[in-house]
Amino acid sequence: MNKKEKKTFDKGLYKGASISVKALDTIIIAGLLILASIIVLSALQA
Amino acid sequence: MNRFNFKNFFGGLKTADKEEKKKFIGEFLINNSLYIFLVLAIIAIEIISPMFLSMPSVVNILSLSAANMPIALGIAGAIVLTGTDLSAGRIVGLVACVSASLLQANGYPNKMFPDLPTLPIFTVLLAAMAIGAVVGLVNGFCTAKFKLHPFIVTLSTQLIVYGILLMYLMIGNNNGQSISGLDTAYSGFINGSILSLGGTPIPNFVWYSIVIIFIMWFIWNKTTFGKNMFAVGSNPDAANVSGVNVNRTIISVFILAGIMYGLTGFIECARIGSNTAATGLNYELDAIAACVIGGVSFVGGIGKIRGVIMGVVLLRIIFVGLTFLGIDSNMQYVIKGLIILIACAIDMRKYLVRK
Repeated sequence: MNKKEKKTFDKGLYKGASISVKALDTIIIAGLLILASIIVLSALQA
Repeated sequence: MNRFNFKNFFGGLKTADKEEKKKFIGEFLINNSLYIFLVLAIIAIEIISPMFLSMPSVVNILSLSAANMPIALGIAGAIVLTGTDLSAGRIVGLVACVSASLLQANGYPNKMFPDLPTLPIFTVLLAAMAIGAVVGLVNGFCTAKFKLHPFIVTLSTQLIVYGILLMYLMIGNNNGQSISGLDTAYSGFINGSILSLGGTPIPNFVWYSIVIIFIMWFIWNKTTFGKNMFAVGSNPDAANVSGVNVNRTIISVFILAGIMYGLTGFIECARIGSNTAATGLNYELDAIAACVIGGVSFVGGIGKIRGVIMGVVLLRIIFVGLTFLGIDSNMQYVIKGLIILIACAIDMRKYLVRK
């Protein structure tokens, strides 16, 4: 499987969306890091 | 999102060589990254604030999860059909206010309908389910017959229901105020307790939610309607060719979802005690988030009751935990949004890898 190759969704709520597995991996990892940072910073501030 | 499955995980590891093992673990970690993150967050919160998983707090988490369970189970059906339901929260609000107005204590000074005696609880329960079912019927009919996307249909009904709710609150002596002074029999029916956990009473509505879970599990897994729902969600054209009545299935799923919102409204009414136009606001967003975390896929035709339960409980634990840490409630919206985004990205990734 080529992770960089864009694939298009042909069904469901994502129908028409075109994205690669690599891009999704980046979104997931970056999202989790942002989430962790927000929780830690907010907890320290509280 | 994939559930953590020890059997698949260790079974897969045994049969793979070194390179495959590395890839397998990587895939496993990224597919379950949100679960791992949430569990780590729960452990960290417990270390920082040891009262977090104390018995009263656990019962509180259990109660809040139970109160939100029927709405999540209802929305999950709509998501299985590749749709969603934005009207859920407002239906909960309308049902809660109607239930409150019909079950106010006799002699309460600000009674909405002073001449109306307090109705039997089961009559109001049926009325609550009927209100939800009617709105569900409208949602389902417009989605099935006019081939409109549920997003548009339920956005419209959300506004219509909210308008009706605001007008309803102006009826009688109420003049737009909150509705409180509920009959003690009704409050006791929902908030009373027959069992305690470590000295903390478990409210009755937790048991009602468990009954609702069993009923929904039965409908989803053991009935023709449940199987048709997954078939239509997975591929409506194939389901149609196979002899499934697609329109009837879609309408039935939305009616069932409406009944679930009605039950949520009936429970919320007594749980909150004082109902306003804001009751039920954004409940659908929490429910959608719980479903996506629990593995109900927006791609359609994928989802399990146990996933929905896990999603609701995990989301509730994390938000009670954030409150324990003293995190600003406004920031909790940001966190909730991010969790939905990550859960959707994982859901999309899984579909692409399979494809």
